[in-house]
Amino acid sequence: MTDMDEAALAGRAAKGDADAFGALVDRHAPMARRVAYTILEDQQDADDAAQEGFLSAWQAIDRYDARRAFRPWLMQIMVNAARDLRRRRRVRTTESLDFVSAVSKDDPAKEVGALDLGDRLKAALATLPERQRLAVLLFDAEGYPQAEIAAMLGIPEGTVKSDVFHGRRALRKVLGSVKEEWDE
Amino acid sequence: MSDMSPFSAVPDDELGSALRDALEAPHHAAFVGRVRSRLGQRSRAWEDELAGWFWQGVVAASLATVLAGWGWSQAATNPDVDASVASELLMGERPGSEILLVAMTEGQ
Repeated sequence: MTDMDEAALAGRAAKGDADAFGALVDRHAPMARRVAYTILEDQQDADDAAQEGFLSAWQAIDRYDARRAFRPWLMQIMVNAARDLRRRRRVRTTESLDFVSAVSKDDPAKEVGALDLGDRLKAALATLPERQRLAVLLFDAEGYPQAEIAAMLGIPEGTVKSDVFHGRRALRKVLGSVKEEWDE
Repeated sequence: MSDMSPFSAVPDDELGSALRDALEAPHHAAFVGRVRSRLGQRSRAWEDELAGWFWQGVVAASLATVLAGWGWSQAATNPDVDASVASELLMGERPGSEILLVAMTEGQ
């Protein structure tokens, strides 16, 4: 989906087309949930925040400027929603998903290895300050330019560069050690 | 593992891919369905605005009705109006006031 397609969908959504907005949700949910998780470090909280972010975006879609990219606008809302939920975390009410089993059993050995790396990366992320976690995720995993991350987080671009550097250094240690184990 | 410098201004694809995998949340379809089902329940910004104006309109209309009613009742019961008409009749300032005055006194 190109930026133009997204702008067109957002334009339709601004006129009240819920299906058009639903297509945007489908497209951006994985990223939104990753960003929310990076802030909240709990999947259920992250899903609640991502849902709240999407609903806030739906409410505000007629204020979206179609000349600008949709994704950074949405992610800014997601970051705010997740930070807002973190502040209210103690009084949160949980809501469970109607889960459908989606775990592939095609290659259990590979899956165990992947889970191991994933868990270790999550553990390493948890040791970093929130801003570093977000900076490295948004830059290396989501592909946002550093200037855009700076605008999104309300910090100078130099700070983003520094956060990416420190975040990468910590996470690469984990990647390196896991890879060494796999090579043995 | 990639040998990129941590200072590099280019995204680290290997680290990025590992992070995406690590943070990939399960049950995408269920999540999207949950959000979609709530879109209809959440009013849009312009609807909120209209709703706000609606209640302001109701309050303004109610106030206007009360004020108009109060003004009409004041005008209908104002004794100064009756007094001024009677004095004008007695003073003969209105045309035909003599006839009216005679008719009233004869009627008594």
